[in-house]
Order: sequence, then C-alpha cells, then structure tokens
Amino acid sequence: MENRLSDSVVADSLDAGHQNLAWEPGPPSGFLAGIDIDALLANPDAEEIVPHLPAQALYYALKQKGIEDALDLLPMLSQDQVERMLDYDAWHRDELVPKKFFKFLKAFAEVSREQLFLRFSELDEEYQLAALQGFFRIHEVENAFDLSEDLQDKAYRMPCDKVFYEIVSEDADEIAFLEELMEAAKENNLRYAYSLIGHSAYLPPGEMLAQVSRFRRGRLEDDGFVNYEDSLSIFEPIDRQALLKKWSSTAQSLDLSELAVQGGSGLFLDAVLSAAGEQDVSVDELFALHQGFLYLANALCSATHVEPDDIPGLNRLLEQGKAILSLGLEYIAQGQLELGIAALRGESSRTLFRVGLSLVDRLRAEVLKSLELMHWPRVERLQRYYIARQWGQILLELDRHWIQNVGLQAGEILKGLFNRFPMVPMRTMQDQNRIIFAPIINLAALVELERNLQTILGTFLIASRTGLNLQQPIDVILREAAMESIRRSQDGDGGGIPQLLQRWRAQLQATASAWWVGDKSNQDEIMDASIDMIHEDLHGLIVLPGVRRSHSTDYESEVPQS
Amino acid sequence: MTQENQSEFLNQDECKALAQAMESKYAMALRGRSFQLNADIKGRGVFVKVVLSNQDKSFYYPVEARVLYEKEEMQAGEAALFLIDYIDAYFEEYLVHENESLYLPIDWADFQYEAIDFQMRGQIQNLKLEELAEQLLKDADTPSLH
Repeated sequence: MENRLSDSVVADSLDAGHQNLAWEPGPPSGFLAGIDIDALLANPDAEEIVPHLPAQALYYALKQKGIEDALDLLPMLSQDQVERMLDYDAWHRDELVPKKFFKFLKAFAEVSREQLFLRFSELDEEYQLAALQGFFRIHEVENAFDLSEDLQDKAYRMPCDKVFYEIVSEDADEIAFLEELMEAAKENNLRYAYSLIGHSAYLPPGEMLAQVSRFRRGRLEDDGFVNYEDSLSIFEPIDRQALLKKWSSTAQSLDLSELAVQGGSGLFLDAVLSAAGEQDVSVDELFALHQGFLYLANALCSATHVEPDDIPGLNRLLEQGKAILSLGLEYIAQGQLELGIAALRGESSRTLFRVGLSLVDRLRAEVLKSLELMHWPRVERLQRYYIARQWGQILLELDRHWIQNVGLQAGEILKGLFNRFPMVPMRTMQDQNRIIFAPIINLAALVELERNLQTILGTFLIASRTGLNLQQPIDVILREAAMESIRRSQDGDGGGIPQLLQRWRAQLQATASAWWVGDKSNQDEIMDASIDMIHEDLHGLIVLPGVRRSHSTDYESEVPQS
Repeated sequence: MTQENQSEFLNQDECKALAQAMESKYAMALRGRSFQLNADIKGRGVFVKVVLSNQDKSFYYPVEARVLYEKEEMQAGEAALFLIDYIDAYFEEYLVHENESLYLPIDWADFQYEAIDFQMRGQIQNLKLEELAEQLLKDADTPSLH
C-alpha cells in the first residue's frame, strides 16, 4: 500500500483544491443551511411537507442539527428520502461502509423497533443484503445441545430452536446494531427474519454490492453527481468571448479593470439574485436556479472526491463554486444587473462557472509563457503539469522547488493562481509568516490577483536579466547584482544603487512584452510596485531612501559610500 | 540501534520532508501552526512523535505512537511509516474534518489497525504558559532582599 505521505498521495490530496491554502470559509449557507428542522417540526403540516422536500437539502439539515437530535423528523421521511440519505452517508467512494450504514439506521432504532424494521425492510433488497453480507453465520441443528460449547455461548437463537446464527464482527457498535435489527425483524415479521439471515449468510460475496452500487450511481446522477471522468468537463476551457458577444453588444470595449472598479465588493451573483427577487420570478424559475446550483455543487464534489457526507468539505466547495460562477456571470453581464438576471436565466450554472474559470486560465497561461521567456528554472515542469491539469502536482512542485528561491510571498501567489480553485492572497499574518487567501469572488479580486502576478513577474524579469544563476534565492540574486553595481560605481563605471533601480525600471518598461500579464492599464503603478519589492529584497544590504521618488530624483549622495 | 536498522530507518531529512508533506496537506487548517516529526528505535520498539505547534508554543500537541516491530513481523522503517500513516490519518480527521475535539488518551493506550497492535498517546499543552508559571515559581523561590 502506498504511504499516505508519498508525493503522489500528497499531490492527489492537493488536487482537490479546496483545502490546500489558508483561507476561512464562512459558516455553511445556501442549501447546507437551508432547512430549519425546528421550524419545520413546529409546523402543523410537517408530516405532509417533509416527504416532498428535496432529500439532499434535508440530509444536510439533519447533519447540521445532528440526526439524534431530530428523531421526531425521522418517521416523517419518505422511504425514497431514507434511501437517498443512505446513498450520501453510508459510502466511501464506491464502497458501501457497513459501519456508517448501521450508524445512520441506528437513529431509527432509537425512534422504535418498528421504525427500524420498516426502514430497513423497505430498502431495495440488494441494499439490505449488501449491507449485511458476511455478518451472519448460520447453524442448523436438531437441538441446541448439538452446538459446540463455544457456539452455545455466542450464537443467537431463532424461535424454532433449530436455527442459530452468529454475528461475525468484533466491533461492539456493529454487533449492537445487528442484534437490534434482528430483534426488530423477529418482532415484526418472523418469516422475513429467517429469510434475511439466510440470504445474507449464503449469497456469494460482492454480488449484491455491485448491483446496489450501480443503482446508487443512477440515483446520484439524478442529483447531479456525475462520475469522476464526466465531472472533469466542468473544468474544461470555454469560449468566453463568444458568450460575451451573445449577451453583450459592447464586448469589444470591455476592460476588466474598469469593470472591477464599477463593481461592488461582494458577489455579483448575490446582487443579481436580490434584484431578481424584486421582479416577478416564478417558483419554477427559482426551483430551476436552485437545481442548477445543486448540480454544480454535486459535479464539483465528484471532481474533487468530496464525499456527500463531508459537510465542511462541501461547504468549502460551495463557497468556491459560487465565487467562480459569480465571476463568470459578472464578466458576461459586464456588471449590469439586468443583463445578469437574463444571463442567469439563460445559461447553466455550469457554463457560468466555466466562464469564471476561463478568466483565470488566461492568466495562468500568460504567467507560464512569461516564465518560459525568462528561461526560469523548472518552468517546463509547471507547463507539463498545467497541460495535464495536475493541480496537486503543480502545488507540490511550487512547495518543494520554487518557494525556497522565489520567496514565500511570490510562491504563495503562484500557488493561489494554480490551485484548482484559484485564490487571491488577502493578507499576511506577520507574526506567523503565512498568507491568508480568499476565493476570487468578483472581477475586483481577479484584478487584484493580476496585479500581484504582474508585480512578482517584474521582479523575476529583473533577476533573470542579471545573468546570475537563477537556481538560488531571488533576493540573493538581486543583492549580488546590487553589490556588483556598487563595486562598479566605486570604479567609476556606471552609477550607484538608485541608478541601478532606475535602470531596472527602464528595463521593465522596455521589455514589458516579456513579463506582462493581463490588462495593460496600470503599467506605471505595477513597475513601481516591482521596484518596491526589489527595494525590500535589498534591505539589510544597504540603506536606501524611499524608492518611489527615485524614478525622477537623483539621490546618489544618500547611498553610503565605503 | 543496529547498523542494518540505522541504514534503513528514517533520517532527519526524511522526517523533515514528511513533516513538510503534512504541512502541504493541511495548509488550510494549520492557522500558523507547523509540524515536526521524529522517529526513533529504542530497544525493540519503534517510536514516532509528530508535534503540531504554533510559534510561541502556546499550542503544543505531541502525538506519539510506538510499536514492537519485530513482534509485528515488520522492519523498523516499515513500522515507522505505518505509525506515521496512522498519525497522519488522525490529523486528517482532527484538522481537515474539523473534528478538533477528537482527543487521544493522555497515557499510552492500545490501538489496532490492519491487524497490527500498537500504542498511542497525545495531549495538548500550553508550553508558553507552563514556562511562565515555572518562571513565576522560580522568582517566588528567590529570597527577597527586603
């Protein structure tokens, strides 16, 4: 078995993309917190309402509250709801986990033995047998004394006194549940009880499991849980320009920075939904929207191997999915609410998500191109992983081989860009040497990420043009180059550090095509930021005055002369 | 430790790489904390200690595991990786599934996984506070001049 901390296993875990970077998702919202169980139970019509509620939303509400704290609700559930909840709860990947299955149904036993019997016996036959397979061993004898002494102690008696069964498990919880289940079956339908132990003891192993797994997959597909291979299509590129033209007549003049400035600080999607709420939106339309979001969330679950019962994981995915979807919507609607409402009605949530992602993909491709033009070490590995969409491998590569050279800040910005769900650094925790990220919730956040990238690529460009070995920390490269400049200035060859910084800035200006990514509207500002970053890197080597003024002022006299 | 065992056992660099791998996996939930990992052979036992702590050690969580590797028919290195795997699985539950109330016994307790018997223990400590308290007691013990 492969070690849990081997490169490939760690890369697999990073590939999911929702738990790699330090960020703080909010509390569960949307359909994860959509049903208030207490309010529902207080409703006099609860018994009529509950069976018509969507199973998935109800399941998450139950999980949030704790199923053992919502026992009153359980008898109201339809059998289809119970079966679907087991589909969400009792499986790991494609394997039924009996312990989880028993744990879920144990809550019904707490309501009554009759409830347990009812819920279990009305499951698909294949489900019942797959869950119990291998747990019973039967002994048929003429008399109880014919059993060996050992068996007499541990075998359970059927009422006929000729059939005995053992429970094959070492787990106390499993044994307790199976004892309770058999008691419930014996009390409610003796014939069924005999049949149950007989079938589960004698069926060939695995036969029922394969069938029930197939049925489950079908039911999950109804909920939008596509298989892993199909779910990956949600991350495929899309022609965003075509969609832009479809929804906007002024597509050509679109400028992301301008739009970002116009946009609000929150999610455009929330603003659109709020505006739509003020218009006449039919219940059918709202339901279709809800289903669209649900399908997106479920497809993301499949793609990232998040199990349907992993509420924190699902919450993180929902927040990421909603952010990217909102970004795509803001882009094709150009920040206009009316257009946003129309696009939300006219495009699937899946399409909007892909549009949002394609905006970041453009940046990813441009960053890789720039690094290639700079001949940055190991860039070909990043390119290879990027083409194969191996997000986990990219993150591992950045962690293992890039951060030590490009520095924590630049390394983390690149990790945010190449995370499966792209993220933007929000703040640095100074005492803890770590960066907190946030999902790219709107065009303003995308522009922020773009600026971060432009700034670090500016410093990379300067380092790459020093002619020094790039397989060492970037601050060491810049300091060495600065030292060389000081030496030359003492020899009367060239200027000092301020002149060097000016030369570097001029170099950035002259070679913009080799390092610039994204919009070109703020080049001066970014070049200043890059030079500021270099200035920071030179700290400790020499005392420099404020750099920004240096672009127009000669302050060579302030540089210490040895 | 025998020569053979030493050559096959985890060295410091490997321990560091494993700790880094755990930091990569759980970056989201670390909140400024980091991992340290040590593995050792003492007598017939392999001992592994993974510490999750913050910078000032006001949160200091050593999780330890040990196994009689020969009795379990394992090589020392294999046993260390087995224990590290189990500890990693524990931290996955503790950190990623946000189950930070999942505590281990304070003293050595028996565990079994994949038919291998081993022991574990773990206790969250506040070393910063303990140091301050110790300092305070030391100061109190010092005879006053007045």
